[in-house]
Amino acid sequence: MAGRAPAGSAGFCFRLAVVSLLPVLACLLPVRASTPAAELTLGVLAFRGEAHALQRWSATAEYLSRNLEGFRFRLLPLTLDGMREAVADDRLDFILTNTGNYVVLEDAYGISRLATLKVNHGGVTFTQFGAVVFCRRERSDLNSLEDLEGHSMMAVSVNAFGGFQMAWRELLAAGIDPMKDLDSLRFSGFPQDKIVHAVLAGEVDAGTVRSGTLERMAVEGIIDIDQIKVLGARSDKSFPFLHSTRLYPEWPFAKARHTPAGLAQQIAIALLRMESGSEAATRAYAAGWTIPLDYGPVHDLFRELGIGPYAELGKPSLASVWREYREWILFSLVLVLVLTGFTISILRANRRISLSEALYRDEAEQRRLAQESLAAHKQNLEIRVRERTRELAEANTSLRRSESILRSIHDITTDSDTGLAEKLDDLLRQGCGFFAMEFAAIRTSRPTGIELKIDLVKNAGDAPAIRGSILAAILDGSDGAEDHLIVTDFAAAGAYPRGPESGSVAAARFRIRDEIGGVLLFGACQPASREYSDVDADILMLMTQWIGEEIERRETDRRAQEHQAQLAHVARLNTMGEMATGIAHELNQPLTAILNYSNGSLRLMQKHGVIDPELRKAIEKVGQDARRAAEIIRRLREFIKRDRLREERFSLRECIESAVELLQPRLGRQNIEVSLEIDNLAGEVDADRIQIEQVVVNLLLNAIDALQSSNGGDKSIAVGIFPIAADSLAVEIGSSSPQIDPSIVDRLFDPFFTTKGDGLGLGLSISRSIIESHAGEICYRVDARGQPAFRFTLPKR
Amino acid sequence: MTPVDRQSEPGQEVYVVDDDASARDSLCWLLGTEKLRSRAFASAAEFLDSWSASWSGCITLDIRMPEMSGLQVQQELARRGNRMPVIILTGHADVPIAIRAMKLGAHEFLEKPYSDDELLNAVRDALRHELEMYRAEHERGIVQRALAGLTDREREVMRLVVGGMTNKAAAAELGISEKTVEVHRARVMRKTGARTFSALVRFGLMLPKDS
Repeated sequence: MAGRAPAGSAGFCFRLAVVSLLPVLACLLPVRASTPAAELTLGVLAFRGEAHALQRWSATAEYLSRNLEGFRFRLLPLTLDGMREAVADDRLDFILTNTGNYVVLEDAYGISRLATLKVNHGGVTFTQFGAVVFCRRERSDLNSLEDLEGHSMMAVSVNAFGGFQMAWRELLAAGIDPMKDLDSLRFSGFPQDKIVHAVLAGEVDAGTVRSGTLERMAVEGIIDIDQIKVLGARSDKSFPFLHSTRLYPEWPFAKARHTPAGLAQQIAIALLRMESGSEAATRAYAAGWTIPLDYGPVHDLFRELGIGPYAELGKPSLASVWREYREWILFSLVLVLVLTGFTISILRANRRISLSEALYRDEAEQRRLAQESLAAHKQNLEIRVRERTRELAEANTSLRRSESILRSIHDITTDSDTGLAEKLDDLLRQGCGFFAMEFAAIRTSRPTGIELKIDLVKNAGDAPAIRGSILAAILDGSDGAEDHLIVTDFAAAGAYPRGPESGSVAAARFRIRDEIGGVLLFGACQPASREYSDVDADILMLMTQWIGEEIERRETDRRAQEHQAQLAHVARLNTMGEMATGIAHELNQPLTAILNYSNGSLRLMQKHGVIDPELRKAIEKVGQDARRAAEIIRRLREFIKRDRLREERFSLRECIESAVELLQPRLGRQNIEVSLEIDNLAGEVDADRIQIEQVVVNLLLNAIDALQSSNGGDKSIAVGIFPIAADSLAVEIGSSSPQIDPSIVDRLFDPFFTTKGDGLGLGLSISRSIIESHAGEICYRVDARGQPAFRFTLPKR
Repeated sequence: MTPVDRQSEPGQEVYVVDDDASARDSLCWLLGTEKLRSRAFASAAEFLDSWSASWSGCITLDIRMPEMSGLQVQQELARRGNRMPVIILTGHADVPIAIRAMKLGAHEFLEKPYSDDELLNAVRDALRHELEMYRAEHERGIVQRALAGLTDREREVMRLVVGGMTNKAAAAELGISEKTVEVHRARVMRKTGARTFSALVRFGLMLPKDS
């Protein structure tokens, strides 16, 4: 290590260039020569040889060098002993080692963890692992850990955490001391595959390896997993691998005691930001890094085994502890039941959430409007029928047919008991009769999402072929700007190169949202049997106009429904997540206190030399059970964890307009004016659109509620979007209601805080969580006009 | 139980800010079992109202408090130029919040409930860190006053020898005798209080770039 600081000089390993970054610390450093980047030494545990360690971690070292300007990481692969010496000599700045070794070094040399590895197994990530004890499937004499007494067993080494010590703890708990009660205990060293082969070959009765090893070998085709029987198997919903032991946190990334905190922070941030799928993560068989887990359970293991930092302590027998402290365990079972009760009540309360109710009310409102428009449509049609009837009465008697078809159209389209498909079917049948044609069809020119494949054929024969060529003649648009086409005899017309050789057609296009949506056609394989007039063309157009409007209305309804369903779904998930977070926070406080008192008591007993093993065990049990309760809470939260954000680029303006439209029925009912003030510079954001819309809906609903209870004269809501600082946008939603009582302003965003009789008190709390997960902020303020307003910000990016 | 000596200095205190009385009191009690002095604050406002730049020690902050979150307190502290390391305690760890806390300069980020070892290690590390920062600054002040008292020639000699030149080479560079260089060098050592050459090199870093 050329240019390294002389030994014993506080152990800093980086050089002159640090000066520019950490001037205060750097002035304490002995310096020889300046180099472009300071070197930091990262010791990694090479449990499968140096080459393997370098292969696994060099990309991580490069990743860190790339992300920390002015520093270069040097990898130093070390054995367990070498690691201890290097840490003792202050030769390392950072340490990447296994969980067991970490706890030993933490205790002896004060190294501290910055992050915990997220291991990737087949696309699923884990931050915990265990060990599995196994034998051959046909060993009918071996069915539990207790049965191993007097048999032979193989493990990695006495110092291997996953490769022996985890199983050791469980064996002791089962009443077997592997050092005394086994026929033989052999250590194979790495790789662990050797143990699996030895067990399958019958060289030893049983073996233990780290969880996931058996599954990996099975996937690689090296072993058949059906030949293996797991002893003392445990099941854990969030951990799919075979295991016989408790689970412990994965490898930590730690800093040495001398490493400056500022630097460690930058490393922690870089590690947390490592993306799964990046080269550094993939090469480490990982999906990145997470917030450091509690390595307390590892301390417990060492304490129970009386090894590592607890080599001087005696070994308590777990079996006797179980017998004596059954009531503590029963107590925690009761706690589990209480928590389950909590979960059920969350689910029940959730069904009644107010936002869902609001959405349902709005849906009903929309239905009513749709019915009104249908009634208006009916009225409109009636007027047209009357007009036409008058005209027809004055015209040729042949036109009486038209009256009958118009009546039919009216009856068909306004019949509230039939669905769209039935209506179209009836319409086509009536049309066939009216136009004296053999077949009828509707073709849409783009997918509408509505079942619309109506074909009516009275007379088979050449019909399909002729229909195809008629469609070609119409749809390719070569017929000019006319929206309808009536040909009494193709043989005589001759102007349709793609049309059929003979036959007749009456067809018209329909429009959806001012674009050509498709075509309605009536045709026959023979020349027409009657003449057609403008009245026939009008009836054709009337039919297509109705078809186009109907499809358009249904599309609009379907989109609105999907959007509302999506919003309601997000609202439900957010409500559950927020409640779980709130409960976790409330329960973690007393649990923290229990742990502080129990651990502190143990410390005091140690210090004062109070040696009462019974008392000590009891207090230790209190701590363990509190930790278990905390673990249950953590799983509860994981179970209903919010979906990952689905980021997309969208315009905030559109998002807000969509939310306003959704609430339009309520706004209209209460005569509330909504005005949008949008700065020209306001642009687009990258965020989860549905989540942001949920925030806007929440804030608008609050404003509406406030206006409803205020009974004031002028009711208005102002929504503004404007840039704030160079890189973020702000949205402000203010209303003409009175200001919020200053005494409750501080608690507005607290979960379960509400001033509404029927509210759950989660709307603002959820909104805050959403905005904060987007790295934005939300607050209440009184705007320039003295009106109450909520403002949130989002990074522009 | 722990072989490493990690005592706090007299005068250092742990400032515990948490709205939950049981979490707060139990933490102070736990610190007390290890002879660590602490002061408890039931709200962000109470803490910030009494905060003083003369305090020494470290701060533990709960993230989720009514009125003002731990992150907001961190921001306010940074604005006031607080030098004490901050340990963030949170009942619900999530990565974006951890990153924000770290970016605001948090010394540690612990999830509740934490183990006693975790917490005590974090507190001792933070106290030691604060002390080192203080000592480093103190020493720098003394040395800088000493450097200001050097003559121009002494400063030139110092610059050359800490840059790696032998006395002889420095003499040639300045056009003076080797003996004179030795005299200047001895004077520099005496004035700055540097007992060894490596200490002198260290002080040399604090010389202004141009004389």
